Amino acid sequence: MLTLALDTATETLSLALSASGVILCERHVDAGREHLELLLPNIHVMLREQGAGIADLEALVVGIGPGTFSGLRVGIVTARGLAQALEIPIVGVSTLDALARGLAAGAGPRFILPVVDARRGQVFTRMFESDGHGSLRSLSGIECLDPETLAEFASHHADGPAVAGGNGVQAYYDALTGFNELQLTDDDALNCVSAARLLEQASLHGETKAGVSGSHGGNVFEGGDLAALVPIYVREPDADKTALLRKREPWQT
Amino acid sequence: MILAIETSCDDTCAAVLDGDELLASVVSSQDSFHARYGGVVPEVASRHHLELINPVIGEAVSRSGTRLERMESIAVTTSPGLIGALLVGVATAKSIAAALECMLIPVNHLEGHIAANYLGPEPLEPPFICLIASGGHTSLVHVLSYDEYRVLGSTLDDAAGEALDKGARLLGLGYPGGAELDRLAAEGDRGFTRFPVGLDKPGNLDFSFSGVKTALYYYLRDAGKRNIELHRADIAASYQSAVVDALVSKLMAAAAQSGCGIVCLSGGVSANSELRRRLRSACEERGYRSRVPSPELCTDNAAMIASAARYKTALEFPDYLNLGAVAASGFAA
Ligand SMILES: [Zn+2]
Repeated sequence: MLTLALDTATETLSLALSASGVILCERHVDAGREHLELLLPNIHVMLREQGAGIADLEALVVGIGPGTFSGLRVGIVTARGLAQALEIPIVGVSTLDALARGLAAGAGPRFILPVVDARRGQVFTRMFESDGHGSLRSLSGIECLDPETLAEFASHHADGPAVAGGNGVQAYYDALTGFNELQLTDDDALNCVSAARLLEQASLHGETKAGVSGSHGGNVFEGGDLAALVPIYVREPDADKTALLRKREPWQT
Repeated sequence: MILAIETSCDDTCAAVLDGDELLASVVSSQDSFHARYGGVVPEVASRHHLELINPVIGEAVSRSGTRLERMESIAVTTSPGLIGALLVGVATAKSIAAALECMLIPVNHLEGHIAANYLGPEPLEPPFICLIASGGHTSLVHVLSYDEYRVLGSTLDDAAGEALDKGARLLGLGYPGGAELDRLAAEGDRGFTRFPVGLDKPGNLDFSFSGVKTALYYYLRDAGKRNIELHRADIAASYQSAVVDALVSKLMAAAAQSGCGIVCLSGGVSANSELRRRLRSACEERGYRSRVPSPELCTDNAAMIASAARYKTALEFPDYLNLGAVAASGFAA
């Protein structure tokens, strides 16, 4: 089963391709805010390098965040369009799960804290516990926090130091330094979301469609279900409300 | 066969056009979602587009009695509009086109409104003068041919529909209030009072609606509760008439200046009964021909995007894969 995984939750666009359980290739692109312009050309080129085309895809895995809203929307909507036209299944996987999987593979502490930049001075995070053999258990819900409160969050959910990584750690490195509860990751590769880890999390390797739906990685969306495959926003849209009303009622100023 | 997608503002739309035959047009309006905010919230619109886009496309394709893989091209609005809303449509259009390896046709939303006139039992042919008036735009365009336009005037501040909606809100009507205002105004006397509209010098084809709205605000502030209660319909009629006057007089001036006696409307405000009535009588007076597309083709829809796409250059696979969306666009195509 030729499966494409993609994640657009952060400024790094990550793509991976697998067939029969083997990762064929992975690709990282610094997309800035140009996910819409860069996603499909990179998918096209990556497939061509493998001698395949978009129409050959048989399944999709997409990172559903949390992360930047417009980045996530480009990734999810692109995956949904491909799934609708090709009539293939999609699995949605949390970007934090994929990030945690990479951090856990580096062994070391039991507690894993993936941190994604949420912009506006905040981060998205979730505490995980690793059994050291590739199995992860979440110890908290997904939270949107000020970086200054991350050490406190860690000590609240874990009874030992947590290895923290992700673009949120890179963005707030100084604010996060000097806490015993947090071991900051310096490895750039681990601070980036990896689409190969998404594939792992979705347990899609070489499995049948039935195998996919039985996995813990995420729900499988097909046909009419596509509308239910949405980003993990965490934040409510209300933040835009004041800006809107100000714009609409200039006579009150 | 063209599948068209339109997500520039708050309606998620898809349509299927085969030659000049419209097979299906689906509009999933988000009005009820935005009503509680009193306007279109960009993030709310983007979230709803994301949820609705695939079901709306699925519905359009199934109503058309054909299949997605039979599409020869996918048309999509790439500008202007809310950037987060546009990118849902553009990303969807590109991925479906890429999966089918068919062509993709980027369409300007305003060209779409103009092309609404090419649909229906009696399609219009250029040249003509078109007033596009909605909650988002107010443009007076001389359509010289299917791909040649001259923008004669546009709004410097509020859009015409916005001015009507805001007036409705000041009068205590709901959102979007344009239709309510129209209903209330029908019972009133439009000569009751006069609200001045900006840029009313002859020869100026631009619009400004911020002054008329402010005039209504001060009027209501100073008129006294009893007076307002007694004359709510008269005030509504006078206010609506001021906005409609500006639209019709500039439309007539544009026709006279360019020597083109065929004038038409597009955009959501075209549904306004006062505008339709005044346009008809102004045209009769001058011997012009007027035309207004059916209401469902006037408000945002994807059928008009498909219609515009017929006269645009199609991009071949894979040339369109890096296509983006543009929030603002100089409409000078
Ligand atoms: Zn419009």
